[in-house]
Amino acid sequence: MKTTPVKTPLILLFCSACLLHAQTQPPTFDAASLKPVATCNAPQDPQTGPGTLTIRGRTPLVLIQWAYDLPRSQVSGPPFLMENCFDLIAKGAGREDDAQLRLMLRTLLADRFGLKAHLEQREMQVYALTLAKGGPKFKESPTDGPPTVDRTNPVILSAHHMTLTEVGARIADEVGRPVTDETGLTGRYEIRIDLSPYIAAAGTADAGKLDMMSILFTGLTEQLGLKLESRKSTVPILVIDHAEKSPTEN
Amino acid sequence: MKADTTPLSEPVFLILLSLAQSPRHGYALLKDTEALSDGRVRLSTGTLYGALRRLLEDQWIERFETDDTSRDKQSYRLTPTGRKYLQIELARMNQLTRAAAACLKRREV
Repeated sequence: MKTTPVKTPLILLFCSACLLHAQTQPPTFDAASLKPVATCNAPQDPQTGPGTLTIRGRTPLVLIQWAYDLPRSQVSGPPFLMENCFDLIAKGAGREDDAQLRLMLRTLLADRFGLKAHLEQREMQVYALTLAKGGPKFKESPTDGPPTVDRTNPVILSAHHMTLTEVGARIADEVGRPVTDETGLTGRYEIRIDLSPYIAAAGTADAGKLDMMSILFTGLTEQLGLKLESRKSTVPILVIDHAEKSPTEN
Repeated sequence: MKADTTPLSEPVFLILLSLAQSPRHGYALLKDTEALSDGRVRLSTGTLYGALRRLLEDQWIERFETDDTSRDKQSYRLTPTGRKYLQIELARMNQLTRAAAACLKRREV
């Protein structure tokens, strides 16, 4: 019987090396345009599709937040990251999902802004998102689709296909602290809160105080069956070690 | 690059102007915006809340934790983005004021 005991392992070794090389190469966009814009007057939420990412009128800080999927309170960096706004339009080679697009954006930020950053764990005051008595008052999304937020009316919070972790991330900027999802719910949900009934009850100028936070806290409990509880917790913080103020040319 | 000169709404302009001086909580913002407008603009809680939410989302302002941790004393402060676009708005208004004064002066002659 004729055998070829040497060739097979060599080929395997060669293929493994190729695979390892492919895996260690940071994922990159096939094409990306990053342009400064004169104003941040019309910022938009990041839009993604299979293999595409568009972020218009946003600061480098927002790009970093999206790349690392972290709210403002979990990113520590120099103030100039919030000074100028950019339009980013990027395309991958295929139909990459959001998780892959985030990795590709990290590579782009490293290439264009010279971004160097590391994650560290810090203990800090957070709000834990938990279920209130009576349980959730929202429904699972009946269809699949990307998470979307309706920004038409600022006193109505309306979102589709959102996980509660994503809801917490949206709330984090408003409450100024990280929000940790401790509901134990893992689905995607249809979320809607009309905060107008609580606005008048928040306080009056005559009383000398105005509790803006109670508007959201009460709305979350009464209309969604969710609570925000203040507590200390250890959360990941992205520390920006280095970034250039202006990106390199396209 | 020529800046986009889309005007800010008056409540937003007054809120940014108030926060440009120092961080403030909700009640202080109501009083200061009224003072800045010489009593002409009295923001309702709803208008203030809506404007603050939008400004927080756009990162023109941010929450600022003070030593006083009572929720009604939680402050807001201007971010570098907010300060920059307040300056752009002021430049737009200055240009408009100069143009208007020149037009009126020509008409008077």
